[in-house]
Amino acid sequence: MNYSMLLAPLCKKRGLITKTILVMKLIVFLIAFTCLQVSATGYAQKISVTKKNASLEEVLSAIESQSGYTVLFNSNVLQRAKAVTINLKNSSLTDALDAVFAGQMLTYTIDNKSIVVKNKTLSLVDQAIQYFKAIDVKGVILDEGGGPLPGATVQVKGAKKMVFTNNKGEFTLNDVEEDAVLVISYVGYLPKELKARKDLGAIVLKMADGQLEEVNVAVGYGAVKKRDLTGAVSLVNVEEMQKQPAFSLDVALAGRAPGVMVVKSSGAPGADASIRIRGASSVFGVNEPLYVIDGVPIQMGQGNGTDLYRSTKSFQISPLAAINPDDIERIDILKDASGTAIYGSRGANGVILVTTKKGKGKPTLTLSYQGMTDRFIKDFDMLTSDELFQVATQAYKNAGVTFPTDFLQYKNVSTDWRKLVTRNSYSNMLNLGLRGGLGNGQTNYSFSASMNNQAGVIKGSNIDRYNIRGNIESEVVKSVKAGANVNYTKNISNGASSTYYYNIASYRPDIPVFDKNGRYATTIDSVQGNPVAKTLYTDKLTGDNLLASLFAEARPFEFLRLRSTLSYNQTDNVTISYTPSFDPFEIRNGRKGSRKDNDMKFSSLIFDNTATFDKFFGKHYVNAMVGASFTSDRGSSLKLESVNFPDDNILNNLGSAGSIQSYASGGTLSGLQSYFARTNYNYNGKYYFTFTARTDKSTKFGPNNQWAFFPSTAFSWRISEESFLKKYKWISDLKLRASTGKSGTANLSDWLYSTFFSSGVFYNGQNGVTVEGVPNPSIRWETTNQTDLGLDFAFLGNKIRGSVDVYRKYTKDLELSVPIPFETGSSRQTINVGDISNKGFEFVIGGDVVSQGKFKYTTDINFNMNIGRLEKLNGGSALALNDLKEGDALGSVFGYRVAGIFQTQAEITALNQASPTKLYQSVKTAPGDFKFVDINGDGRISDSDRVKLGNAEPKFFGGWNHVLRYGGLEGSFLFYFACGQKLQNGAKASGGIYSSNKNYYRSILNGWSEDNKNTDLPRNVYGDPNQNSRASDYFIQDGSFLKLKNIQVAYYINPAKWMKQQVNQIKLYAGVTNLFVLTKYDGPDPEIGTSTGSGLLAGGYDGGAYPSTRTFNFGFNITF
Amino acid sequence: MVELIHPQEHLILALTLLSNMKKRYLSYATAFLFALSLQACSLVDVTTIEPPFKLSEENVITDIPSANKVLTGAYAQLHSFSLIVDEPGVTGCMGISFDVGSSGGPSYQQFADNDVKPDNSTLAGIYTSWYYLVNLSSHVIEKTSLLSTTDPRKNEILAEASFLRALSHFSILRLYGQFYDIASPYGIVVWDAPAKDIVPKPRSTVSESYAQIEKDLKFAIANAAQYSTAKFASKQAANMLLAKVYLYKRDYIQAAQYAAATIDQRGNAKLEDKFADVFTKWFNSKEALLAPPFDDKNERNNKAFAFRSYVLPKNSYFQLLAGDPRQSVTIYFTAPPGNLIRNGKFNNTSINGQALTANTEYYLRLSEAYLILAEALIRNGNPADLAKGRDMINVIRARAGATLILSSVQTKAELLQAVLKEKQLELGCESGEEWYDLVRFSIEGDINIVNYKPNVTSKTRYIVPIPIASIKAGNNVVKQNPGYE
Repeated sequence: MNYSMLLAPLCKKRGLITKTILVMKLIVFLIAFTCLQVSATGYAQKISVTKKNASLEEVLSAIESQSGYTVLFNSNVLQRAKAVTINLKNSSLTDALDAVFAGQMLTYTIDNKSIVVKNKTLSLVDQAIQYFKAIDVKGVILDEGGGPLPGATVQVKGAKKMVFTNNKGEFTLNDVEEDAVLVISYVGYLPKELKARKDLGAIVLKMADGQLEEVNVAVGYGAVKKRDLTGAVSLVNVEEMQKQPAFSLDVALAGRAPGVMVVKSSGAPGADASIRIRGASSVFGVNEPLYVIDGVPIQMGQGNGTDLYRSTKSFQISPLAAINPDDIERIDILKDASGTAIYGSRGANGVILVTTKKGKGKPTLTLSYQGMTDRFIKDFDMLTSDELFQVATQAYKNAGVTFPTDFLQYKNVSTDWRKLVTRNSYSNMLNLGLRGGLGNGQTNYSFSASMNNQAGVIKGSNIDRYNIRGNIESEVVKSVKAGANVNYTKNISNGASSTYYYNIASYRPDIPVFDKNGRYATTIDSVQGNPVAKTLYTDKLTGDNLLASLFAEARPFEFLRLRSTLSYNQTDNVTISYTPSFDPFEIRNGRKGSRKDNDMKFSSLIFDNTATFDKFFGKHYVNAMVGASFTSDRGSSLKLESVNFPDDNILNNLGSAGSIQSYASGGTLSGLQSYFARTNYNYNGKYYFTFTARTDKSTKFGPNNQWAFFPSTAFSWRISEESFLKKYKWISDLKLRASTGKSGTANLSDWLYSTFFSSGVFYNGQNGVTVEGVPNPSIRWETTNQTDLGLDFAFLGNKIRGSVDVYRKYTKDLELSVPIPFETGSSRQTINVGDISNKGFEFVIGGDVVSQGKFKYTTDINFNMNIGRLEKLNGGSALALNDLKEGDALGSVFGYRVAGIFQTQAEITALNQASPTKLYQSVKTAPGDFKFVDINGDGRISDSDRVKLGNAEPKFFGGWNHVLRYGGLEGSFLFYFACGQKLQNGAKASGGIYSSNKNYYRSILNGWSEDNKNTDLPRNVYGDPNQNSRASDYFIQDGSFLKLKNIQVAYYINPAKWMKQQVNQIKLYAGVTNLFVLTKYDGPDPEIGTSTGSGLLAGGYDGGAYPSTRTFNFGFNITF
Repeated sequence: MVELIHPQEHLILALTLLSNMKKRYLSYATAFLFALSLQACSLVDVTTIEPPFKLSEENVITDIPSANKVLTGAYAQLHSFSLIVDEPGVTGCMGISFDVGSSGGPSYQQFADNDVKPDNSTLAGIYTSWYYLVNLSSHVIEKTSLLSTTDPRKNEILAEASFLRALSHFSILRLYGQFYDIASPYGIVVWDAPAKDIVPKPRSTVSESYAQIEKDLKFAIANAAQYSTAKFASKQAANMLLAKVYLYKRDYIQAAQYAAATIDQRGNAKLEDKFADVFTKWFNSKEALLAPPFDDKNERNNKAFAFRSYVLPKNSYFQLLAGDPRQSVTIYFTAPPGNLIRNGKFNNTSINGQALTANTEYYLRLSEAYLILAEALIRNGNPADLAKGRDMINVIRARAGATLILSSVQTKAELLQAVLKEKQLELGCESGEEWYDLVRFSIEGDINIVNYKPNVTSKTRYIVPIPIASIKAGNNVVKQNPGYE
């Protein structure tokens, strides 16, 4: 108890001491709970009392001391007690008490850990009635899963007498005639009638046919029944999601949830995805939603905004890669303000709540294996050596430049680099899980381990994940629960930054792999090795991730739950890249190998405390929660560059380096202090109200702007419960929802509000100190107001169900990187300017289409529309946002319009003469070049002729999933679609338009020439003087697509026939992802439109990074 | 019992006590008190933090060593790409010695065409980089002058920071302001204190701009240390810079006075015996009065590489050097069949056995002081000065191994042409000094600039525009240069 006193003076010092103390405190905490548990087992001792004609008081005190229970009584009451004669040996408490009170005028009740002694005070008449006619009926109402149904109605048939069940589903109905019939009902469940009897025990209600499973939906710091939701929450069908082979859950979400847009960054192994929930709400900050994994909030980019996040993406593995998708039990996505406001300053981009599998009941062991092979969906078709020579000769001629005599260094060589550096990769995945409960559900545990080796199609690229996860929860004593979650993951990724596939494909085919000296050949003056050599370079990223949390929960009263959670999340990313001594640039610089080390560490410590009040008052139900949360985020980085190694393969460790060339380090720290509250109220399952409020204090802002307040309110109305609709039997459920509220974003770098100085610049070997730009003392929160209107419905006995939502999000005080007067010594600053809005519509509908005998067919479709708009700039500019103007749609794509190809010189001359500058386009424009449209009619082509060519945001997108079952055979099909988005085919511009000496698409052979005028491809000309490859509607294409994203065919073997003892179920399956794509887009895959988060805002761009792959997979799951 | 530090602890304790009314709740109380002890400071006190690895304005300069650290940071700005590659590169393109190379792109081409657009990105980079140095030097000056110490280094630090601020202001003035017209309102935005908030400041007049530069340099001359290395500012460097400032200000008497002082009181500085030695000794050359060092580590720069890819010597400049021994030092050609033209003054280096594509920038080189003195004397015009001016030119020509100018060349006009030519020969392919010479000689009516650069058809082309983004960001408080509005 005195630990904290002893430690308190030390706490004021920071640094190592604090850390040590923290560890010590954790140990104390654990010891404390262990002690509690020891004494708890003491309470459960058996009672042995032997007394003759003893006073009741004496006997009870003996029981008290043995049981540890407190006996409460009024001394007046005990005066009525008779003497007790008793002989008990190892009796249970209740048996002992029953024996003690037998024949007494007194009775007892056990309330938690107290034994309350009271009078059997009934009037004589009452006693008589009770004795002859009426009884007190008690019982507990449960659902099929054994969960209590609070608020269920228990009514005496034909009478007005009724009660509601309490939180535990229990009820007591007094003075019921013994032959009465009770009607027990609950919305969505089949009513049950039974004869009254003293103790009805557990009464299980069955769900109405086709009713959605009555699940708890996580809403942040708590859960509500799905039917009681007031906000817009997308529930992901995790079981269906897991059918798609995906390294991390972000990628697997594509097409699975309404309102959620997922863009995978590339086809590289382990590539992450950008997720937008109802459009983007920030330009400068990260637009990824907040992930809450088992209650631990995880922010992409570590809450530090774009700068750190995007520039370090290749040095950091997404924290989501730490979670094995197979461990996930459920995913709830909070979209509207009612749901996100409880996460306050981090909720503006939506919240994805991930719950991992927990143990329950009989122990089960699951074992699963999956094997996969990948290949590119579509590859580039490149020129051969001879063709390139022919095209290049012509291109130089067209440019009027002498063809370099040394163009061809190697005769008769035609290297197909793509063949040499790609492969049919084989990947595999192994999961093992052990889950179950002990001691009648008092302790539940879940352990799992997995190994996932993903090989990329490009040689040398792969990612391996080793993951172990443990979860244990125990009811230490009655009403006190504690538990811990630990997840440790090691990710090892290779070749992450050497994967620009377009660069590989466009390497010159006339270069052999080796020159005649046996060295890796390169082009003249090359500063890089050839693609085969580059696959041998070290580019290794190791990510260690620990996610641990510990909670304790107490229920001092039935209606009150106090919970404290301490979570710790740490990620260490270590990147090592090594350029061997045979690299041409190394040779040229006289170095013998260069090594770069990059370490990034991040840790987040979160301390959450909540108190939840939960009670029925007849038809009124109140659930209220208050809480406080404290988050401390710490990041650090270290960079080292070293050169000259004695050996490329073994002695390339840091210690072997000839010298350290440069070093740098950095770090950041931020704190978030939050207080929040939520009230859910409902009346009779008909009218629901939710109020939430959160106030956050963030150290990212100056002293005057640290606090922010985020309130929200929601209302919903179950119309189907109203009498005017109840008569329509086909309406199973109809609920109207409305919500409005505020959430925020503080996803930006720390310490922008004041002048700070830091070191890291060198002069004459000395490390100097410099000023870090000009401060913005008034930097403040970005806030998003969101209003949502929704309707949930279920018809025909829940055979058809779905929901519709419309919403409007309005983000104020948008942070943009804005030019400031350069005379301050800085050119830009993060300033709150501008507002953006997102409006949208979401629709999800599903149905059990066929259910006949063994054949079942279920389908679900979600359909989404979102329009983002830049509303206000308040005098600022949106350079970070494609220089959009007020009123422009977010994601607008700009470029020139191409009006065909100049066929004759006369055409060009005429335009030049008509131009006031005597130059229409470019000095060296010649027949065969693109003719751009002079939009503003000033007679020349300039920057102001760039026009909006469309929007990178789809007009609509969604997913359509089908599940067909026949007996043990099951087929699942996910279609994924997006329509109306424009995508800039960057690879086509650089690979399809000749400019310099590299390889090109084979289509370039069809370039314009005097003999080939009937083509839409411009002439091949060295240097591209007309800039034919500039952004134009020639490259900005319709990116609409319909894709069969995933198929899985599975067979569930019924183990009843064999090995019933050992095996519960066996599932065998095989599947394909990306089986086909219907699209007009001519790049490899329109789904990969952007590599970084800004893409959806600033316009989609496909640079030919790492083409997406088609995956064939097969595997099995066995449950023991 | 538990020491309570935070208000929320009291709250939770109250809750706990509330639930502690009965003996059976003792266990919960125990649990929660332990939870509370966990809270003590580190867990909940998350917002009382100091930025890691950062100093605030209050504690950045507290003594001489810390002032030296910030001054080192200010010097390091002289390494920046904008100042070591862009500025000499584009001014050389505006002048007569550079062509745009493949990496220079349209941004550099505008300088070569003497048609710089207000949104040119290189233009913005140079402007901002110099102002960053102005700001950081002002921080050093402001905070160091508050130190109460008798350490003589204090005044040296102030002198060096003043020098760096003057160098920055002057570099901005001669590129972006009407430096040649003392009566013009188009000076530059002048700062004598750090920028602490974003408040746009209007331009000073040319005369006010010069006044601040002169003030800073005179302080530097009075307080800076004697020259020992080109790495740091010295009394000699300040003298030479002030001579140059007066030359640009067209105050030739003072220009001659300070240029003579630079040469007469040059201390350890001296002309290299051979012209070529300057460019192989880099910042170690005693001829360099200010030239930042570099190494193969944190101070590595890519200047030599950039001087192959961004700018290349102009063929016409190579022709201009014909017959002068400096031709083969300044320009060379790669081996056949390439025969590519290369800058011999900035041509890779090797440090610690490590081949580098790095080179220094000669912000001030003593040989220029001789030519400043020569021009100032000649412009002063009396016969003795004319002869002395010719002698100064001949000092440089003799060192280069070129034939001396005969005493028969004696008119002011002839000698002005000679000094102009000499500066081109000596300083071309280096820092773009020849561009400012063309402007100054044109203003003085000695040459017709169109003969050198046909696009400079108007005086508005003598200077470049203020970056438009900066003007807009300051709500047009800073007026754009005439002809660029």
